[in-house]
Amino acid sequence: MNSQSRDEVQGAVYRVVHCLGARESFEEALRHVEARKQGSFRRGMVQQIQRLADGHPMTRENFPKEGKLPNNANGEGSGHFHALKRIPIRGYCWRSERFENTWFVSHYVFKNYQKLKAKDTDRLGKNWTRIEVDGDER
Amino acid sequence: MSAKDMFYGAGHEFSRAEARAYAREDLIYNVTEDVLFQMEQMSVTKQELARRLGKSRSYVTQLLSGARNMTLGSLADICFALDIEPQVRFHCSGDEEVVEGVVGTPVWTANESEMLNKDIQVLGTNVLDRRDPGHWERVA
Repeated sequence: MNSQSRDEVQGAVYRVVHCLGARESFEEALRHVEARKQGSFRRGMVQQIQRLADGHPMTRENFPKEGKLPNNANGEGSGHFHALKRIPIRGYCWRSERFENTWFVSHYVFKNYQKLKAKDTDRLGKNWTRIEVDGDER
Repeated sequence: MSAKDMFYGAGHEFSRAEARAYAREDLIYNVTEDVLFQMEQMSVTKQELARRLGKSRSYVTQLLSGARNMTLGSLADICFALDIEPQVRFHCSGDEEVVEGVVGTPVWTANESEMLNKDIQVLGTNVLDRRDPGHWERVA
């Protein structure tokens, strides 16, 4: 990965932002993929994010709700986060309430298991709190 | 700016082979995603689509995951089974205007001599009806 890659894209409808460390987590997840398939997986994730940014309909199949977001300050649920699925890679993301028309990608995992891990919910929750509650940019 | 910049360095140039692979996978992804979205809207499962096509569920899964090459014929079959009409649009990179129909086809222009034939009826803007109206009047 080139360190000069950008952290966000502005599509026709949405801005999609990589949280701090998201790019690195993608490279880490990609390392578990067979070398000859890595190019295809990288292109595949680009395509998913471009489609999301351009506001085209995403499917439950490849963009499922994966888990619950933390409660807001009033103790109310903030909805769910989604997974950009490119089996076996997942990118966990949520639509921001603080930043208009913006999706944040928390991190990526190489997911060769079925159930969502608590550590991934936790990592996303920390990013969500940092951005949605504390107002960080990414 | 595109999402490519998030996964490749700024100024990264695709080789021709990589650009071609990207274009191919992009089309496959977006078409299969559009089909899957239609199925979800209609509450049609892969199992049900397989039944309508007379194929196995794994065949449908492979087609819609991009693992199996989807031909225009199989896409047409899927659309027929879902009772939806596909539309294909082409446009050249950088062009604003979208051209519908077959790319590379010369622009159709009317042949002046044909237009002088009194038996030809012009339907719409580019459809010529060569039927002889007098014939149908005679047999009616």
